[in-house]
Amino acid sequence: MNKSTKALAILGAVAVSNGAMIAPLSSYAEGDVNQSDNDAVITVHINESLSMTVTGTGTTVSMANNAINESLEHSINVATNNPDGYVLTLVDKDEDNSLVGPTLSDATTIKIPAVSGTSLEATTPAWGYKVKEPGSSYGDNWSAVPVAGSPAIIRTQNGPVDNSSFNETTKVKFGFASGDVASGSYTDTITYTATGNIGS
Amino acid sequence: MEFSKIRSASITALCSLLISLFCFTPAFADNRGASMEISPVTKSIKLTPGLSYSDSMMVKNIGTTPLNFSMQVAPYQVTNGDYNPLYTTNNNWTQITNWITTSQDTYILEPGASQDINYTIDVPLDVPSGGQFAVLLATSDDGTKNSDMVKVVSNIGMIISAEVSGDTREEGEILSKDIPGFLLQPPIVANFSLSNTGNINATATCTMRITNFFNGSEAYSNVDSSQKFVVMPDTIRNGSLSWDSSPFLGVFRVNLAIEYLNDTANYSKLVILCPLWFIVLFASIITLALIIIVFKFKKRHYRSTKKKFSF
Repeated sequence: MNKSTKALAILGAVAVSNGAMIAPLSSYAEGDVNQSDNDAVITVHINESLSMTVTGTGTTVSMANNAINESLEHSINVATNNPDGYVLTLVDKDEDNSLVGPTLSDATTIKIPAVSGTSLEATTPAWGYKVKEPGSSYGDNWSAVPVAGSPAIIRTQNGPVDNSSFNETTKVKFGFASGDVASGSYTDTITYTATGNIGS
Repeated sequence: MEFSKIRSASITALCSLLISLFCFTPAFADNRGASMEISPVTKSIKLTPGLSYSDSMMVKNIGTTPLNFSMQVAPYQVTNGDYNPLYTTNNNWTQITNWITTSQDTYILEPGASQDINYTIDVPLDVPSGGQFAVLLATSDDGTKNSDMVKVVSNIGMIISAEVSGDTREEGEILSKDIPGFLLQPPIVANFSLSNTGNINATATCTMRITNFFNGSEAYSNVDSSQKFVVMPDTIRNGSLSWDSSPFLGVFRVNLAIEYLNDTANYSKLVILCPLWFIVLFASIITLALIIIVFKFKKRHYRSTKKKFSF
């Protein structure tokens, strides 16, 4: 092989090798200047959740006539990472917020009505509730459990609050004044409902 | 020998007692009602008349006993102003409650177990365009006895906020804005009221910036984390921003900015924070100073009068 042929061969080899190097580069789409085949995008999705635990249920209350009993207390723990927070409500299950008692022989049903003012008197049959929010204490006033359709908000948290979740317990105490009602079992059903806020 | 018999008998009795305590410990009831968790908490979806939408909601038993619960669909509305939730109000915005069905009505979950609740929304053809609102509730009366004076039903729900395609309208206005100019105690607050007269949700973005009146330095700002308020159609929503770490004394310039639909409102006000005790103290000092000044003036006047008549 003469010198010029040798030179051409070397140039050709260099051209081929450069082409081999250039060819993969040409596969990059225009605009993907910084794209690298080694980049990996990592995404972590934190699921939104809301939980509620009610304790203090299933407690029997026994009392004599003309007495006041405040021993029944529910604890409602709510936890959520919803950035808009949550709302907790209390409402009677139906339109009658009395404690319904025994039915007499004349078909009359004895009831203990919901408290009409803010205090309980031992000699006046009535019942009510009061709320203790996290970090606070019970107030002095009793409230009537609202009838179905008009729930009372007993706790609400509006977000966002420093990007942190909520996990807190609200307590509800029930007070009963028996007056001189007839003996027997008196009962009512209430509903606690926890939902997220729609956006605050 | 007798002592060893007594000792072994005592040990045997003690072991029996310990074993009985561990084996026959009474099962004290922990008076626990339902213990449930759901995910997600809210769901925003777009619906098309005549088509169906399917999805699921997870319910988990986070208690220590089996959870019996049922699924219910309830309307979701709010009261004007305070936006208190209403779960029994049916109107044109809650027709979606009739379109939602779940794959199953009742469930039993062991402690720690979870269940995907599949639901389908079958949208009729002739329905109004715009917002539709419901809440998908997991409801349980676990832990309640018939002898309870107050029986408890626990509900936990996912809000469904849907937008039916068609003739949707975004309309509304900023009804009012107010910043109290004199406060006896913190926090500094800015209040506002928004109305939505359209038929889909509208969102307001609100920011508050507070500067020191005397030196102009920024004391508080939520510009980097503006607060958003969703206003449901046909409702009025009251909102407020507050600087919870306000000092108890100071003079500030408060700027409130609200972006809502096509409207942007900026409102600025001078706010004086001054506790009552400071006012009383300041008034007392002023009063004392006045008394001293008057006393000194009268004393000087008396002396000059006395001198005059002494000649």
